[in-house]
Amino acid sequence: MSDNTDDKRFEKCVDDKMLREVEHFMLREARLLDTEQLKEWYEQMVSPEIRYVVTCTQLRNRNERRYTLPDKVYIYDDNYQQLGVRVTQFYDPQHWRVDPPEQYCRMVTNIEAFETDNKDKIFVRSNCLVTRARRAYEVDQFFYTREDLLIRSEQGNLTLLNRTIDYPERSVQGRNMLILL
Amino acid sequence: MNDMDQLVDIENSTQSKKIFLDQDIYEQEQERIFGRCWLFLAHESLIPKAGDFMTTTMGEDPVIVVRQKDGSTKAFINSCTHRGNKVCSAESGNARSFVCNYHGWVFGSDGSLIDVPLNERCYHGTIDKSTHGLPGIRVESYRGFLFGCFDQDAPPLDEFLGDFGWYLDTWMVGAGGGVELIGPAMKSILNCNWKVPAENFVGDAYHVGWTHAAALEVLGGELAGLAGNQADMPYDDLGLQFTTRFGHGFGVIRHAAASIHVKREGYDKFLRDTLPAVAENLGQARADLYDGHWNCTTFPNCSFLYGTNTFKVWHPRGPGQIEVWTYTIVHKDMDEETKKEIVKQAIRSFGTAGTLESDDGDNMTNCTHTNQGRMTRKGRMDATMGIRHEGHHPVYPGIVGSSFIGETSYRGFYRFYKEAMSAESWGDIRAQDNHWDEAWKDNGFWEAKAGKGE
Ligand code: FES
Ligand SMILES: [Fe+2]
Repeated sequence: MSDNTDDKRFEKCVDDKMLREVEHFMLREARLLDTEQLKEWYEQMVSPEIRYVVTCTQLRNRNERRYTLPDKVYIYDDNYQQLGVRVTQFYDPQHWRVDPPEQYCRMVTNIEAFETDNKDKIFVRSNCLVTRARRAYEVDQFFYTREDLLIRSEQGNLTLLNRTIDYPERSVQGRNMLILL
Repeated sequence: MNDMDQLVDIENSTQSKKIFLDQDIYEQEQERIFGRCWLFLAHESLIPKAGDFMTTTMGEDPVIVVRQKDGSTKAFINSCTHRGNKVCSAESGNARSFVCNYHGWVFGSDGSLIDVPLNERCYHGTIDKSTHGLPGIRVESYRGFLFGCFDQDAPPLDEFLGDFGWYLDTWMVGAGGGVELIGPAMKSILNCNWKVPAENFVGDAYHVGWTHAAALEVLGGELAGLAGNQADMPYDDLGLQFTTRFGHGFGVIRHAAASIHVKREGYDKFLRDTLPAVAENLGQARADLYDGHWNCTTFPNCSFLYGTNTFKVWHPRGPGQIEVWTYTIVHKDMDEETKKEIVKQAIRSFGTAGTLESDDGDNMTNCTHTNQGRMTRKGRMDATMGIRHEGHHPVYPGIVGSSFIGETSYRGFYRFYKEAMSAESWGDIRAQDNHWDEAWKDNGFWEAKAGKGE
């Protein structure tokens, strides 16, 4: 994590019309993922150039200087093809884990959208809480901040080009994180 | 004391369901297994420089592992000798000393107590620093893998690994460059007993085609043939299963090392290029296993898949919960690009968000917690697959099963589990060194097979 001063990415908010479009994107995405429309999400909302990264950070002392091995733990480091594998797996009739089905509820808040150097790319920051209910008694919760880069496709709609999450919970309580965040 | 004869029936290869969810059994395991066996701590590559440290747990005991100035490694209990606070909360770092947050006692990187605030004015010199260091733990390294042991009477690590070490050398020594672990570990909590994943990794190739059917189908490649157990396969020619003196065991699928990896050119090439040197260093028997896919458990709780290259520690957190730590294994001599790709592929299959990992979690949780039921717990579990299709092999040490799909290494795991749980001391265990394999009364399978000229 850097120091706590805002960097240049947060300099210029998009206008209200653009913000509405971004909000609509985020909410539609949450709805598609909640309602098992992963294929629609994948085909319509994700750029083929996507990089989808979820990391968490090893706990070190603030003043640590001498230990130089990487502190990032990669949980997702996916491209379009790999995300596709996850989507296909979800629908496979032999995917016992989601049979009986799980229930999902995604909440996306604190949405802020900023202009970038490229007029087709928008930088979006949001906070999320996802609950996953399964097997009668299990409710897993995932909470995190997303930093996304959206890009306007040739068809004119926004698509997800980059998603970066630094997941706050060091030891994941929710048994696995095979859920699109 | 628990009735081990009731809990583990070696002759019929069954276990009581109680072993997965019973507090008394768990306590006895902590004492007699986690208190006695060599437990994985870290790989030397994770603490390369003097002062580098990592915190981990042995059973439920928190420990600090520190590289010393002379290059050796020490480990001690991460609990202050004053009032018991955790001394170090960081997972890794480099420290000249560890200062307890509670009252500020200072411990050196060798665990000794070096400073006590207000020592002169308030203790009036009554504290003997020399007897208040953090309790030390035996540490030994096998091919760079650091293990710790609480029991002074335990055999040295390389004896504890025994024949299993001979097998591990296949890739831990390999062509000579050795392997390392890439961290930091992924960590997650799973509500299951520690033995469920340990037995799964030691010898359960049976579940692969069924539990992971969807994942294998989606991945494609050689292993897709296993999905749904549909294909007519010559299982006896595809691999073997092994178990050894102290419960360590593994199964090998021949020529399948990188089969879970979607992008694998670099890895395949590395294996091909190094194979001749492996044969030269270690002989043909082990070279034949070098490009196989291995599922392994080092007794009790350290498991890995060589080939998929995921490396796991199942830290017990009570009878019904574990914390899973996941690293990636890479050969030191690989180019950086190949290492990076292997880490990616390993994470995608067996990381916290891995497409195969998540399949297993459900089974492991349910195998454990169905035993909450009083009547359920009285039932027994079966591990008889491949019984009598195993024994002493003309080439390979230990007990060898005829197929990678079989439960030979389950039998070896629970044989030693019972022995360790029943023994009063390491002395009792060592006294059985020449008799352990008598658990396989009928161990002439390979001889008979050779006799038939097969
Ligand atoms: S508990 Fe550590 S200094 Fe008091
Ligand atoms: Fe599995």
